[in-house]
Amino acid sequence: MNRSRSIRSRLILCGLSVISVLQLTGCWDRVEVNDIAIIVGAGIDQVSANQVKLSAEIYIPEESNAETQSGGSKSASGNGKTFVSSASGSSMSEAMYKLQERLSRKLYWGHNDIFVFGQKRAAQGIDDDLDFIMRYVRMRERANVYVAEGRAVDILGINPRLEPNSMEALSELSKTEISTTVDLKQVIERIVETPEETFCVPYLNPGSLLTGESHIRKPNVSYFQGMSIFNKTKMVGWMNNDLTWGYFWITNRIKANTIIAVGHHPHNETVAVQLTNSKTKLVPHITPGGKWIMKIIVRSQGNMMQNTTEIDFMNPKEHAELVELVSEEVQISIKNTMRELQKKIKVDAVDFGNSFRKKYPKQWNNVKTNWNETFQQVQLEFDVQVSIPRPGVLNQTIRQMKGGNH
Amino acid sequence: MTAAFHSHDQAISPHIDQVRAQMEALLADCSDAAYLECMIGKKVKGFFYYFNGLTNEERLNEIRYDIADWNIDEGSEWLESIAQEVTAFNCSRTDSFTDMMDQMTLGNAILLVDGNDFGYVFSLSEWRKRAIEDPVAESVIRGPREGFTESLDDNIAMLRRRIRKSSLKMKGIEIGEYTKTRVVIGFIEGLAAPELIQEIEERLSAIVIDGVLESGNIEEYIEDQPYSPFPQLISTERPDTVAGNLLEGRAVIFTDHTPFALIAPISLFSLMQSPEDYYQRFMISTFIRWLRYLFFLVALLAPSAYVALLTYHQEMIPSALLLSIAKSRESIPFPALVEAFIMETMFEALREAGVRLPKQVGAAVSIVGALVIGQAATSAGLVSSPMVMVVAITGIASFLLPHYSIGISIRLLRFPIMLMAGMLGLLGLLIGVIGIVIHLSGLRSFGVPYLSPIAPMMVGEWKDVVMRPQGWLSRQRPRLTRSGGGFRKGERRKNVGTSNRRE
Repeated sequence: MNRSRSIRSRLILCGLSVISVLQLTGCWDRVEVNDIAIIVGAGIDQVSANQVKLSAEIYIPEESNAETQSGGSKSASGNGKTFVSSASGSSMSEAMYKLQERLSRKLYWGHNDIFVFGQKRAAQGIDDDLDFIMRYVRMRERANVYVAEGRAVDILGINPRLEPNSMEALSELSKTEISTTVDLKQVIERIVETPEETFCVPYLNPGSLLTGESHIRKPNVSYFQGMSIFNKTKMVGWMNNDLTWGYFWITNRIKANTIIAVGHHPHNETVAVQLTNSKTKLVPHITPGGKWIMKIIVRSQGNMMQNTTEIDFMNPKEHAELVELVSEEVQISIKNTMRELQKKIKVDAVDFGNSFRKKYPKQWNNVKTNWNETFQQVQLEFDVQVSIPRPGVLNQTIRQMKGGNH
Repeated sequence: MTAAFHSHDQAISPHIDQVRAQMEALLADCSDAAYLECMIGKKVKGFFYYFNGLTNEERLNEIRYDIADWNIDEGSEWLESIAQEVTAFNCSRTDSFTDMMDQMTLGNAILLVDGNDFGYVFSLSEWRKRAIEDPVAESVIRGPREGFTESLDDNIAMLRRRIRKSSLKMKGIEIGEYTKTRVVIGFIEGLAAPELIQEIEERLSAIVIDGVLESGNIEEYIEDQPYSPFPQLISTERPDTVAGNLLEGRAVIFTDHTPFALIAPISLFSLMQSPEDYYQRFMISTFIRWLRYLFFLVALLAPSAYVALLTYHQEMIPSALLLSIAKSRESIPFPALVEAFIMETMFEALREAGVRLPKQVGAAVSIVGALVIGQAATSAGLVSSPMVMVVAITGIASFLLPHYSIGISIRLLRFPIMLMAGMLGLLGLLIGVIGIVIHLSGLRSFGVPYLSPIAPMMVGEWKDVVMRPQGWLSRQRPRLTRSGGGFRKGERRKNVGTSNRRE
């Protein structure tokens, strides 16, 4: 009896000490939500030759009924939901260290979904920054990457009207059919896969660049301006929205709901088609004579959206004319983009290399090191078809209906 | 036996005055004991002994007058003639004081006659009982509305009415040195394993205890693992639950003076089933079972998961949600763990107070409780509103389990897991869960693994776990409880009422 009691009390003592040890050792990496500065957007700018500026948009967790303005540093935004804080250093890591010094709370990267690179920094090369970003434990590798025309910090400073912060605004913007999403993972994949480390990243404009000082409204949106093109992790050029449209067609990134509007020439009437689906196929071919040819096959489908021409949708012959008209428009835009890429920027941003590598691995190995030069010589063939099976609610044009009445 | 009980072993004296002295010594200070003097056939002296309130006194008086008119033979034959007359009543003999006292406490009256060295027992027991009412703790929408009462005989009768076969056996046993509570083991011969019945009998008869006031008193003596937080017997006040379990080859233990019967053996999944599952249509019951499994996990893990995510893994919370949680937590002075402990403790206290509350103050307390927990605590900046929500969901979830006993175990286990989650994050939460699973895997209820039919795996019986199968699909009785040949009566359902059948 006595012995069993002493064993039991010894067991209890053991249990207690285990519990207290757990409590002593545990909790060391406990971080309360109250102690973190949640970063909802990061910008990286080049300030001088070897100085990089890291800006972070930080969420201000403040009850909505409390009206106190607790703007941290530089640009406290209108309704005080976020603020932007910046610090410079010789590298990203040093800049972050300095940024941390200015804040009472621990920088928290776990929710940051956007990285915006300033134009200068992008031209200088972003591989050092990518190393830091990908290596740091808390970073999201699915965060979207952007390049800003001008300074990145200006993009972060924008306090959008429709969305709570610029992170939301940008990721929503990327979902629209005129834009696209490129995340860190895709960038890294392209760097690893392509011989010349070529990739494209959405190019943004803070809005203030478009509207002059005289403009009444404060520009508080960032605009999608096209795609910036990187070669060897340095930005070498960019495509404007029109060229980007062609780029989307080639790379099969065109989204449903995209509208193709064509001016029909005699009187510049409009034919507009809203896409429901689209598929682009790249078929590479090398002739025995050593010519590199790329056939771009586009198969799309869309609904008639507007038709102010005299062309009768319901007439099979004239319908073919319509299809021809719209397909032609797509083909032209692809051609324009390819001309820009092959003649001006001279970088394979549309990933032809990958298609050739898969089909002609031997020939590819020979030109791999100088691929961009071969790319400029690639000849193009087109097979574009945009079918328009549905006329919308109107079968005829209004003018035709009028004619029928008489 | 100690000296105090010595008088019980005395022989009954044939001299009435001596017996009377003996009885009075035994019943000293029993103010509820009563005696009535009577003259049998107006010649022989006798005494009735009984306890007030347990005996039908009206009937006793009738018998007393009757006795006075008996024809008693002269001479030495009169004892014989009394014995003969007595047989007209529901009457038996007793020849020890111990037995006499037992009979009196059961409500019977004892007649002691001058010249006899034994007593007669008249079965006149009658006392006030509660009527059969709705089972309060286990109410159903569809199903029988009667629940067990405190009377053992009524309870057994309710069961016997449901299972009208002589193979429904009821083995009686008496437990409790002072309470001498009647405990009855019920089972269906041929369905329940004989070893199970033997085991239950052995465990019950091994109990040495002063008193049994409720089935809980014996439950803790016969459980396989008394130090487990999980109940290893179901207590129920529903006769249909008992009948259903008997048909599956289980046994029931009735205890006198309590409406709660115990069912053994059980598994964790029997605690998740309500009798109503079998009365509602199978799709609905299956859905409700899944809901229960889901909320079982919610009740166990929701606050811990919240604490773990909020203190260690903020990146796992959707961005927009984290921002709004950060907003509401901004003015809270406590860490999430402390916040959770405050709220959970508060909730448990309110729940307990609600159970014990006198009806008159019930409304006041629930208003104060709702205000304190719901609004005031948030606006005073003590707790954040997401935490209030988590606690509320957890509280509701634990009441979704049809048996109170498993609900309260879950509520208890919540606290250590919360502590683990607060110290080690999701890792701690998982360690806690793994600990519980290990414990459950080792647990047995009367030899049946607690996690059966999941572990050990008996795929054939999963039907009754992952869904509520239609009657004709669940023909096999549970393997671990049945004695053999375990198929239920009945065949595949005939196509009844399908008028569009092709000829």
